[in-house]
Amino acid sequence: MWVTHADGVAIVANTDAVAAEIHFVDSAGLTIGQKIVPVGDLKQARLADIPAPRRPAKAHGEKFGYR
Amino acid sequence: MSLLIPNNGEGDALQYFVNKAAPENLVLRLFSNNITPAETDTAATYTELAVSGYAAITLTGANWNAPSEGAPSSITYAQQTFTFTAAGSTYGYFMTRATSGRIALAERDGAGVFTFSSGDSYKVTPQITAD
Repeated sequence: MWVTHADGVAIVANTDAVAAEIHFVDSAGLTIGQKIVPVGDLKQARLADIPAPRRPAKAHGEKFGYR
Repeated sequence: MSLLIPNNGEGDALQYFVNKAAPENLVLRLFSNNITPAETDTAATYTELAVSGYAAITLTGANWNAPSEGAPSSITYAQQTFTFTAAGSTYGYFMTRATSGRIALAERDGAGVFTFSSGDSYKVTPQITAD
């Protein structure tokens, strides 16, 4: 799942009820770092937040809440 | 990191489940770009390794072991070995369908980037678990 965190745009790699391992990405969609954060610090990314090379088509993205 | 089945892989699996589409063998590939798998990925998201000695491996359907049914259920395939004759690096593996080329699943290596030299090998033991 694509999310936003205070430190940037990321992908949730693992999660449980309280914490998530997220992998931050750059504008090309490549991984630039990872961090374990409280789940409450995350928001679902907007479609525009997803790096262009990995951004799904609008209709497809909206099915998953990326608006 | 755990294995991820992108939307393309989920759609294909559902079609095979209800016999709407004929299943295809999986092809095991290594990727060389620094990708964390995401559900919206397609096969094009992944840059397949391109070094001397590397070749993708087709996983023949009949050669999968019998599934273990339980909580969770799982199915495994014999360990596969990629052997290289040049230097390079990989971040993990992905599988595509043999005919359509659509992505089925991907997993980033939890140990991080694997850098290899000529003569080195990289092993993957395919396992898919459902609960």
